[in-house]
Amino acid sequence: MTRQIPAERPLPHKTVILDRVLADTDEKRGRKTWLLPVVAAASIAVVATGALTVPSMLKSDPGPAGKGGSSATTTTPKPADNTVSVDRGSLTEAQAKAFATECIKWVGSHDIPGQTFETAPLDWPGMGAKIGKIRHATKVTDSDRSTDWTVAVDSGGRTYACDGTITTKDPDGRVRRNYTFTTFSRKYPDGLGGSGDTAGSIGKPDGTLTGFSSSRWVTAGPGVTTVQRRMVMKGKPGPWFTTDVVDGLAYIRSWSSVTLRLGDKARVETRRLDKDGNVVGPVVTDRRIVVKGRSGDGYTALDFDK
Amino acid sequence: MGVRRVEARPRYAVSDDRDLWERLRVADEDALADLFHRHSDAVYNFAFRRTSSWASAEDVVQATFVALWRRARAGKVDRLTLDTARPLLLVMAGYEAGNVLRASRRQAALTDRIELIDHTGTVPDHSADAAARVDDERSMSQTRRLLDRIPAKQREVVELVVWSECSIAEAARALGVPEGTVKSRLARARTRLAGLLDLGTTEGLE
Repeated sequence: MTRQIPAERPLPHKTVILDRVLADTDEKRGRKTWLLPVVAAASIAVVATGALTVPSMLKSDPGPAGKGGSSATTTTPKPADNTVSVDRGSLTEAQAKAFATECIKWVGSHDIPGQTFETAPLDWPGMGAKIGKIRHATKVTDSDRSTDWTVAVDSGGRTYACDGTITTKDPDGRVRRNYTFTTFSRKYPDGLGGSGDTAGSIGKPDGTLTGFSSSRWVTAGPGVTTVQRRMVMKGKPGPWFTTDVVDGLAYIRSWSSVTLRLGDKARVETRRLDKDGNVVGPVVTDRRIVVKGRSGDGYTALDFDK
Repeated sequence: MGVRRVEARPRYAVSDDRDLWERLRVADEDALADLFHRHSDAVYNFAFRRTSSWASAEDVVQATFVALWRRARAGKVDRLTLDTARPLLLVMAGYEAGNVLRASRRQAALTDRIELIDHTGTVPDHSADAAARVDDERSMSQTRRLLDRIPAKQREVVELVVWSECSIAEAARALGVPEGTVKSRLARARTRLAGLLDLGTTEGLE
């Protein structure tokens, strides 16, 4: 017996979606730059994704600024280093509490049939954990100049963290959830602590990749006041993106608009500075990237840690 | 800024997609709205068949028309060479579906890290419609696994011609390949998937 596909359904919420389309005015939030395919563009869009940092994927790289590499080593950065701050101030106490409450809901959560992370109801039985302490309630900028919130929550001996925007409901009452939840781990061997990193890119129909971004939480060691992260694309380093340590934690993002093609390599580096601007410990390379060919499902992929 | 609301308008019998497309090229908001009302269902179902998720399909619809609208406002929409914009919108939706899937996979990977501390929660009630949607998604996901047995270029022809009912000529124009290429890809797909997926007859392929 041959398989049939499910019957078609009408698009729900048409008016709401059309409203959103017509309300779009921010060009900088554009996600991709492909050309409208009137007579061309035969290939399927290229997709690349970074997801989790597996401990085995992490490597400590002495790097030019961290040669000698123990945690006691300090090196003064070169004056020519270009830096970009991602910090945009602090959340108010009310904002911090609201975001922490939303964030901690995912502790103990479970799949809900028919619902995704983005659409799951605001509340359901059994969800959430008790907030112990709220830390690192800040605002950070993204590559599109939008502002996101960050918060870390201590609960039951563990630390959980979220970055993104506070959950809202759209005009027809649907939940719109747009933040990332992560759990801190003590297992990462690179000495940065915090969470594994999240990385992503935007694929274009011509088989190239661009719009790289990468972020992670870092647990700052003694004396560390600043954390920096940069992307080295095809051997050429970008600026150091910089954030201040708050409550012993740092959330650092980095991005690059460089276009990578098949076979190109890139890496992401993180370093820590003390109050005098000296590098503390080794420069850590926690992402290595190679652009692979198209995979079996037709999507070009990034290969990590090569 | 506030959200502008555009009321649904009756379809214009005298206005085909070429007219609307020409107006879209100069960023006519009503033209976009009309194109949306004409083709959003087709894009939605195409995107569902690509993503196996009704929720993701909604996101794909929005992303597709946002991309189109941005291009229109920037004056970067080329002339329409088909009578209908539907095949082009479906190809565009295919690109957007890739990015939506990328975001979904990243999110799924992240949620995998959630520690399951409390398993006592109960699942909220779901309507029959919601249950049917879940059934659809399971079924489509299984179908996609079968479809994954053939190359991507053959898959997209199946998606356009068999499932979205584009003509061979429309699919060829939208994909930028000769009609013969579309026919041969479809024929090979039918051969490979015979007995597994219902891909219709070979009529029109000879």
